[in-house]
Amino acid sequence: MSFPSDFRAACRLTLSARFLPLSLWLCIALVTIVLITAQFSARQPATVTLDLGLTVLRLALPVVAVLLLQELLSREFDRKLFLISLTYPRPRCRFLLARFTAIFGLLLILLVALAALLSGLTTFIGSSYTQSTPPDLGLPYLVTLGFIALDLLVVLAIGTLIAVTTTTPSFVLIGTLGFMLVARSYSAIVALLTRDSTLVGNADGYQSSLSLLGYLLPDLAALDVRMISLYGQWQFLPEDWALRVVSALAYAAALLGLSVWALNRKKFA
Amino acid sequence: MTSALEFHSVSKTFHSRGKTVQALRGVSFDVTEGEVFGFVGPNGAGKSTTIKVMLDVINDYEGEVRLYGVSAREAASRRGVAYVPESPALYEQFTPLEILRMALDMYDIRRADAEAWCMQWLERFSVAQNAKRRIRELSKGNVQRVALAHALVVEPRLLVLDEPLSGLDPVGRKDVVDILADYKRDGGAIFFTSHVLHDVERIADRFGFIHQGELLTTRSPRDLVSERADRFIIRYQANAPLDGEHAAIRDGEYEQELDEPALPAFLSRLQTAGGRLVTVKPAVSLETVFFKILEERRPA
Repeated sequence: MSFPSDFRAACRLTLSARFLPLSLWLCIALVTIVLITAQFSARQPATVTLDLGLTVLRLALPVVAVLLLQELLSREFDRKLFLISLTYPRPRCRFLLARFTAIFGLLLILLVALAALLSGLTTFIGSSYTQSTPPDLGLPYLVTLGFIALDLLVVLAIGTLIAVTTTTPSFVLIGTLGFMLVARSYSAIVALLTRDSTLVGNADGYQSSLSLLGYLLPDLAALDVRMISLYGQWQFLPEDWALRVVSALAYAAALLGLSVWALNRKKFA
Repeated sequence: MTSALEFHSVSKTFHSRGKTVQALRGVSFDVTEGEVFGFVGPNGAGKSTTIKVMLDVINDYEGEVRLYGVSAREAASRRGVAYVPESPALYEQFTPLEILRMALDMYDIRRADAEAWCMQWLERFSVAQNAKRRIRELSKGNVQRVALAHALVVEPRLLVLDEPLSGLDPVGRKDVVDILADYKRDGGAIFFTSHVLHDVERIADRFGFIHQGELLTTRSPRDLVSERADRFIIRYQANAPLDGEHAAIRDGEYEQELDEPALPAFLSRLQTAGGRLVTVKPAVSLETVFFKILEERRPA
């Protein structure tokens, strides 16, 4: 019972789930947004282009991930396709892991394609004006992309867990994007309250409640290291970057493990 | 003979919105290799639940189920077992050819002639002309045929079918019955459910009657015939019924049930009256036995 068979089938399903049209639209959106907004900065057009482009990647790729999860998992249960796919002589975990891997693999390819496009756009826009601190599209850019991929992995893992446990496909979209929003913003709120405790009443209590979230949620804001690429300076890379990587990987593994456990126990009436 | 499928005291209870429904109550039976076993019962009797249990779609049940000696809780038990659900849902964006190729992949079957092999099965089910159209463009009957081809393309040892003839036109039903007969001739075992008793009579070697989650009995056609071999149904044509109490099938055609000893005298009277004999067949049928069993179990 080889995994490649499951993976191949999952890739075919992902590709047929509007992946290519979605990717094309994303490329068009990236080019349009980046070209328009670069006009707003006369002195640092390349940096603004790269900054905005990376924001587009960090926002759009999780949305694509969720749409694919809805198609490959939620609708599988909704349309009773599982009556065939789960009755093949393969364990349920393989069904889930193949689909997860296929979605993540294709998203990585899309990330690379979009990153190459963004790099080209940044170079093109940057060629019209020489900046004093130009963005670095070498190793710092690759590291930034690596962290974005890690962020995507965690978001995909939580989306998978929601898709397996919920019976409403739209909840995958709401739940995953809601999770992403909280996981990307709570550490910034904690930092803000640490700096200025007069912002809210009972700041200490509020802050400790938020800090509790740190044990439940991965800190996705910590995976945004774009400054090293925007300014080409390694000192912007957090000292605890290795811990952040390990923490994100651990969260993704735990969420995926929970998803497999939930699918094995899922009741199909 | 080796057992293809064994159910030992299998019970399953569903809990939903405060209600408890016992879908299966201590169901035990077995299907031997090469046997065609029909599972009969009204809607909601537990037929589909039985299939979901054997294929591990439902895994929180009591009792034990084995496929070719391997516990049904293990994925390996489904090697050589193919399933066609009732009103099967297939990936709508794929073509029938892709669906069959995927089945070969998922059963780890490597063939140099995979495409030709798949086409051959699509031809057998008369859907080869639609091999490269998307499933969403096909009629319900053709989707059913593709689902059956998808199951048979992997050459299973046991074929599990949930209401296999529903959704098919008369030609399709005959095609499928013929293909299943070929499959059985080649030594394949079939477990299928139906609430159309005539279908079961046509295909099955043995029947199981399930009602309200309880397997009431399992019998073979031979058992049925020997149970009431002394009763016959005579259909004849005459100007009027011979003794005035016969059921009229249509104008000038009547039917009567008789004991075997009364048969010669009746035929003689028919000849004298200038009537014509149409058919003589045993009075026992799956339907009569089914209702008889239900009647016997109904509380007085």
